[in-house]
Amino acid sequence: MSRLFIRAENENGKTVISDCEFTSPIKIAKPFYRENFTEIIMMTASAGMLDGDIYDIEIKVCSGAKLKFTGQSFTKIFKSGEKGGVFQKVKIHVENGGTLFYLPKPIIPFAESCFENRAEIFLENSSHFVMGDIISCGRTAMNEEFLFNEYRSRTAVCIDGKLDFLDNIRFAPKEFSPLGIGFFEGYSHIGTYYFYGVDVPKLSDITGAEFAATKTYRGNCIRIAADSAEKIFSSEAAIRFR
Amino acid sequence: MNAKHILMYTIIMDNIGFLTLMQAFDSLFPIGAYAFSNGMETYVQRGIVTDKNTLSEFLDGYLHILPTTDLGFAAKAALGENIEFLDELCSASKTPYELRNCSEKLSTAFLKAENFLGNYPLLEKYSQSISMGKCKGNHSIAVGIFISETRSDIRTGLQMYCYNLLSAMVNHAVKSVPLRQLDGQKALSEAIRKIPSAAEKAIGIDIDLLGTSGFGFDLRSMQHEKLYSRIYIS
Repeated sequence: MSRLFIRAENENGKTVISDCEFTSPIKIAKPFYRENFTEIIMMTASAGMLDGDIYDIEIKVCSGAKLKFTGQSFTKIFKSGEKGGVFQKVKIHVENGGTLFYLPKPIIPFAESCFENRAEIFLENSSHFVMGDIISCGRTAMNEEFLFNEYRSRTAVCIDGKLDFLDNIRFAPKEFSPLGIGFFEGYSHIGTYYFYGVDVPKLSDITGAEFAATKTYRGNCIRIAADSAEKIFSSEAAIRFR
Repeated sequence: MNAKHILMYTIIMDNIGFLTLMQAFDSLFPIGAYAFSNGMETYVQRGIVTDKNTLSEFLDGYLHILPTTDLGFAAKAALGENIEFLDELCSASKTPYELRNCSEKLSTAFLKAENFLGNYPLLEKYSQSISMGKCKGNHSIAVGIFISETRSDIRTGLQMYCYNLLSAMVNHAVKSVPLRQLDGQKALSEAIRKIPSAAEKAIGIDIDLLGTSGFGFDLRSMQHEKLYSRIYIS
């Protein structure tokens, strides 16, 4: 099991990483101190997530701290046996008045791979939080579209202990093709962003990408279907720290 | 009463339960279901559902998600799972505002109607939880509780509910595509063959998978909020 733990705190108006631990192959680069937030980039020493890998990621953002968390490159999920696969557990806690932009890079599930992600987000009444979750249909350049065994991702956002939003995704192309109506609908990438206490960027459809926004009970959600990851990233560029 | 009488009595009772469900799942049952297209209107306006084949593809996808969405929640409610827990999960998993709103509106109307028509303590309790703010109210959960209250066979009840959901979708499509009535019925009769296995899956579904919807279905329901001309509420 590979673990990453980060705690961000506000120290005299600057966000510092007051506690951090990680085990191979996960590592983090030296924090980037931007003008009004601090950025952490997660890297892995391996080429991607290999069969049997378990990642355990925990991020805590204390009151007044502003953190952006991203990845270095797309997360490749390698082939696994029938029963195996990779598992990622994410636990996030953003205190009142804390800000976290959790924007990992898209997941690329290779042929015959299995991926399961379980994210639990704990927010408080006045936490600021943005999360992005992007999946591709596989290595399109290798004609590996929808050849993975299973992709599962479950994200639960709780505010003061009450479940506000649950995003549950599961694709198992061998059981049911996710290509058509109701699922990918001909697109190769899908992305979901959640916003809590942060302005929602105004987005409109472009060629090869469709956007839609809605309100969850306490936050906002944007879903995007596109024919490339870059088109989804254009929305990420529109999300700004205040 | 001897064994034969008991058997006959059970059969008669079962038929009453069955017919009571039939009334509840009749498309004319006055809960306002006709006003909600659950995304179908966007599919038609965007030219994605245009004929019998695309309607069939839509229904196949819809049948695929039902065991982890509305049919799954109904099944778990009918099987006696904790209602407050299911209600919280169901509401949180309906990302598009309009789908949540639809589920709440239909549950209010359904509970009002059934509590007026019969004496169903568990349904009454669910109504109270909603008015006390402990639950938000979801149509699928009210339906599940109702199935158990009528003491009907759970499978039959879920299959009828599933049919009700599919037939409503076909009806919206036939009205707006435009599509021949018989083409709509052809698509429905093909989909019917997959109802028993969908109900079976709903009964056995892992709680962790509840709320797994279809990305495209969600996207289209969200786009419906901004649709230029709309006949339906969702």
